[in-house]
Amino acid sequence: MHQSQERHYNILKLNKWFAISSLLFTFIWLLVFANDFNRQWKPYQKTFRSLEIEQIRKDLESADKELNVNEEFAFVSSELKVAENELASNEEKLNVFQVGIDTLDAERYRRNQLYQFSKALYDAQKYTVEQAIAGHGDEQAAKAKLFKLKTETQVFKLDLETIEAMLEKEEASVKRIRSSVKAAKDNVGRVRRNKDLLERRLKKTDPEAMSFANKISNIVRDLPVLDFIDPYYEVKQVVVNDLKDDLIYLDVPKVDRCMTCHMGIDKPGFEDAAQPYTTHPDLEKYVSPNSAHPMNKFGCTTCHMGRGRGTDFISTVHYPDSEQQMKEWEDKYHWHKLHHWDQPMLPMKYIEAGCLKCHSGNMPVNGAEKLSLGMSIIERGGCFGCHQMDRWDGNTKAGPALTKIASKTNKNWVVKWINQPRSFREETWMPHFFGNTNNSDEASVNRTNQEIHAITAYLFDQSEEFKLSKRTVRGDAENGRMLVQSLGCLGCHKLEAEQIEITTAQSITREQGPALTGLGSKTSASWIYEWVRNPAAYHPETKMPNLRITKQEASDIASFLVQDTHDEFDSNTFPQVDEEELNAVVVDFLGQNKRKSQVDEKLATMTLDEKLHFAGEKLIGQYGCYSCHDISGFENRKPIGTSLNIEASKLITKLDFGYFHDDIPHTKFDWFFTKVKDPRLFDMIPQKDGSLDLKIKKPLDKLRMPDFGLSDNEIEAVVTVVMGLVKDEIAEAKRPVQDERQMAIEAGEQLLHSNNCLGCHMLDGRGGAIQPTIGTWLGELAGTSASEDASVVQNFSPPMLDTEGKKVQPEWLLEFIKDPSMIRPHLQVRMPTFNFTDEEINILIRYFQLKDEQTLVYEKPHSASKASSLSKAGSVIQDLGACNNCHFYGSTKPKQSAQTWAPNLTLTKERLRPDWVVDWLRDPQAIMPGTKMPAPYLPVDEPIEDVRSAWGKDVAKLHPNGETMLMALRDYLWSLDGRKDVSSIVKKHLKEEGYGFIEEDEEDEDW
Amino acid sequence: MEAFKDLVNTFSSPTILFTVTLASFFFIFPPSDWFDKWHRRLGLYLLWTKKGFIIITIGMLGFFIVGLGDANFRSIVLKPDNVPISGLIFLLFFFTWLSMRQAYRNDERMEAGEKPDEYYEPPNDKALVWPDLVYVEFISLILFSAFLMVWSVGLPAPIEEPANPTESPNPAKAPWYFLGLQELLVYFDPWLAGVVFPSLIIVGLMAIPFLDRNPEGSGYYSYKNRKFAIAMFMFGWLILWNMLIIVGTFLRGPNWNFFGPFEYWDIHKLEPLTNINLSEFVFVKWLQTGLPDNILIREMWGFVVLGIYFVILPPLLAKTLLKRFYDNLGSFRYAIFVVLLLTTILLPIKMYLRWIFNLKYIIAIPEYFFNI
Repeated sequence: MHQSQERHYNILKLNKWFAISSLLFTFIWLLVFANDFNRQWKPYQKTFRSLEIEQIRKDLESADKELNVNEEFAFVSSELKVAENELASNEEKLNVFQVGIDTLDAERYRRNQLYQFSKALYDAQKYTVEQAIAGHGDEQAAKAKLFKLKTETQVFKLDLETIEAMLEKEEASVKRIRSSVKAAKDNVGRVRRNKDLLERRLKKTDPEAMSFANKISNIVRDLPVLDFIDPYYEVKQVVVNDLKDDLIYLDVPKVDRCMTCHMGIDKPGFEDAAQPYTTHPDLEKYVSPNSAHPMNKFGCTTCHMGRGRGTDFISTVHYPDSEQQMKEWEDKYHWHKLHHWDQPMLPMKYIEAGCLKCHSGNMPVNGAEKLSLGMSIIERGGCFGCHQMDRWDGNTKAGPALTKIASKTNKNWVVKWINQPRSFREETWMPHFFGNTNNSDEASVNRTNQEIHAITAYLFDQSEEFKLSKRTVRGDAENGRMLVQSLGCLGCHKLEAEQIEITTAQSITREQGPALTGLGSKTSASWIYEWVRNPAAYHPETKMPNLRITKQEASDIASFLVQDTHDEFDSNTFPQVDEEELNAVVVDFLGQNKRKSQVDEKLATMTLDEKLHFAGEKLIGQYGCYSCHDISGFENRKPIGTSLNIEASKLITKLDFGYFHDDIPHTKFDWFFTKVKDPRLFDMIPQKDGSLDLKIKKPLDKLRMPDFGLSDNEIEAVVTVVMGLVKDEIAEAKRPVQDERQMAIEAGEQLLHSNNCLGCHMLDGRGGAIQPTIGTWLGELAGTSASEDASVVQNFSPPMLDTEGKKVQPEWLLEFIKDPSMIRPHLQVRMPTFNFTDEEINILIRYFQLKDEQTLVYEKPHSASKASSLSKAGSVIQDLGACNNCHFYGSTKPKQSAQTWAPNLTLTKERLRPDWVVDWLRDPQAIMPGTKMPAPYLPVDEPIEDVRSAWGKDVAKLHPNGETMLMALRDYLWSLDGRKDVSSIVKKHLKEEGYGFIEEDEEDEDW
Repeated sequence: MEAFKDLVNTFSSPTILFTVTLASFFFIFPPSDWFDKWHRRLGLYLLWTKKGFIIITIGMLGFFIVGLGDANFRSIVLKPDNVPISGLIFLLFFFTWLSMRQAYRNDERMEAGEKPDEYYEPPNDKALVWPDLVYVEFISLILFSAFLMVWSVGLPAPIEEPANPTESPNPAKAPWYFLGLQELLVYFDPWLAGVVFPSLIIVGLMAIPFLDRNPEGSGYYSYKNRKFAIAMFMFGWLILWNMLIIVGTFLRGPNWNFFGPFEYWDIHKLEPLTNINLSEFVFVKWLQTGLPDNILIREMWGFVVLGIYFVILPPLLAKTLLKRFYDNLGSFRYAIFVVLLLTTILLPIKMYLRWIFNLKYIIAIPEYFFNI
């Protein structure tokens, strides 16, 4: 130590400080590395690796077992053994060859080098010569040298080629000796290819199966810091360039890293593994490379939402499906919602929202039941009336026209109905505007009662005259009841409040029209009589079709429907008009653009009726009644609600959580749920005791959205749709191909849906909600044995529409839709006459045609003559097949009773397509499962002599070709002529003899 | 507990907080003998002792720890952006305390006839750079790096939602060191608060060595010799700069409304906006007429008031209160000094005018973006 030096501090002490701080620094530096090295996803990858090893080993075992019993493998293995033995016996010979080859190869190498060098000199000399020709150097000498080099090179080349030829010959000999072994090996390899692949995979994955060197590198590649080169455990990702993450004014390509932890998502075999290793539940549709939505082209967050770039549980913004799951996650993962990410992953209950982005054109969206239900609810509820949604542009209004309301009902009923629609009909789609969370206090009720009077007064003031004609025939209520049950009314209406546990896209088809309850309290028999006979006369836009109901039938139906009254509703009273309260309403509206003095002046001059009329008009505008109903005076009003076109892309900051910030989870879907559940809630302030208090708001400033009384399941369905309304621009390549077929299908599905065709018909396994009610009717008609037999019920239900495009001729379909005629004589249910435009009919025909891939616009009509031998053969087959048991042949009635009757065969040639008829005859069950039609018996297996004697020569000619026999039947059908319309025969028969059910009831007398 | 929170919330309202601080400030940093007398009498000098340090630090720590039990307080203080600022409050106190203690000790030493603590007899009056200073600096560097690493790992970057050009965050706050200036925007027109004042602050700081040529207390800490200078500087530094930063960081919420530290930042909170200009006071309130059309006539009263403040007041002060300064500095330096001083004082004056009279601007010529 240099004690002489001046020191302010003790240097030893400083050294100690330095040592301590350096150690501390090093320690923290290591901690930083450790922190960087320890990623949440790594343990998942490690676990998955062991799962994968387990799976490969299992697969390997079964592959082994398979090979052990595989005869081919045993054969090729023994072949290999034989070949190898043979090779062993030739060992000496091979050795000799090998020595020769080695020597020759050495010589070839030497000669090749000589040639290459010589050629290089020659090439270089070519340049020198060219330079000399251009005037640089001695041309003569250069050319001489070039010539010499050329000769030399050629000599070397020849030498080389000689030795190469010798070498090839020797090698060929060796190859010949080895060839049988190689062939045998190839064969073995082909048979055990699967096992080899598995073994290769195992060697890559399982350290135990690795070579020593690979074992070392397996460890080294994942060491801290070194793991930047080529680690086994790494962040995995897909980059999808044409799908974007919306970062507000900035679209960045989607980068999804979900598979970093969800490693089994695209690998079959992990279906039962725990999360996050599970295989995707539907690899056929999603994720796998051959599906419609492969992972590398669509990523994950395109449908699931969330933050694809995240690599831990929180930062990817997982979102729980239920409160219980939320608790679990909080315990297990310390889960909380990442506050700053607007699009958390969709919980499973809303998962189908992702489908809507691309498939909004379809209805229903295939495989997305909840979404389809939500879309149906939006149509039934008329959400699009107040909330602009382009998807539903042009849809007709959800409610009935009120332009002729005075002819339908009375003011007393209307006020009570507007006040509480569900007190009249539990399941009505008319929502509650009054008695809601923000207007149930006494002051509000006093006011809204007067508002209801005003609205009603306006509606009746504006009501046009609608003449109800006198019923000329007396109605029979009991017959009316049977008619309502059998004509098909119940495809769209319910007859009584039916408790459905959970609404589905299927069950909601029976809510196309209102439930037919309490009509006696609401309207008159005359009105119903008028309405059912021609709905469009009262309401031109109505979706209710015309069932071609006769005067007698209409009268019966009317008599039946008015029988049902709602006594409790009728006995309720509603407060009278109170001018003082009403004045307050009028003053509020007048005050919107007038000074107080002007308001007072105006008010003084108004009569009570004027006040009611004025307030009513303003209130209808205020509440947006015109959004669902046609009301005179409101023809061109704009919707009152906020547009929902890109609602789910709205920033969450634009949603006002009001005083419920802490009570509702901070997500868009929870807000939407709350909003639909209790639309007026955000006008309230929650109190400590759980009650609610009103915010200070003027009546006209209060929230106006009505309460639809939906169940939680229904609300979830609606929210699913809303969550799918996003502004994402999906690249063309990622959307369903918008070709002619797709467009025709979308348009057709929409038409089918809005006219509720699937309320009666079944198509693609959907629809046919009417069937249970047909069963009920059958039960009354024919006893429980018929109603409980599904095939009988189906037989009496509207036909399936599967393969309709292949089945019927477009021209016929056109005529049929325009003016339906009888096809199935045993059916009571009627195909209605819709007021379709030509355009709509074309949509329908194109839909069926293109759906079944019928692309020809025009086809050569099929024709067959009675005299042809094919027709003759067909005639024999139909005769022996007893087709006449069920089918009409023109005016010839079927032999069996009416319950098994089937279409008139003379209709066939203009109705059906010939190819389809053959398909149909071959196996009716394949086309229409459950049909009563049996496949005709064809004598293909009988000896030809028997056929000739029993079936005649025309059939024998076709023997034993069943296919031509079917064609013969078809040609026979095409040769048939006769009466086409058998409806009067049917009517007469049913009236006289009934259906012929064994347990017939007396009621059938009416038929 | 709730009562305590309510009390703190009430106390934090700008008028009370500012008034109380202002009233007590010069007793803590006495600018004259009179204040010094009370400073001693009230025992406030004990602040700058070890005991004072411990009590205040524990008090502040206790406040933070107790406060963290409150969700609203927690969400503001623990916001990763604000954590360093909370730390800075402690550092601010610590360094103020350190220098003041040293100054008081030196004052005592000199009173006892000793040299100040920083005084070294030659040849020891020098800094030993190698290895002493460099070594210590190096160790500090290592420790600080270690601290930074721990901090950066332990408190991740406060990443928020994707930036949105159409939506300003509410409240939209400047970087923390500018929050004092942003606070001034409440009381002054942007060109004053954002341009003139910051320039004047820089110019004023540069002018200090030219204005204050008092050789006493140079090279060591002391208070007694330069009471007025230190008190004035501390007023500007602690009250007009640091306190406004703290207010801006912790007490200004959505819509730049004022919130106590335990209050929920409710975006819907409304404060009445009923501020009026001096011209409206004179013409509408007192004379009960409309505003004159001529801008100069309309704003005449503002010009008069400011004229009195900046033209008449300085010579008056030179004869009275600030006579000593005028004598010491001479007329030129006095002029600069007094303008800087008056501008500084203008700030609290304007704040009080706003609070008491709802005065918006003294001169309001929005036609030419000239408002004072």
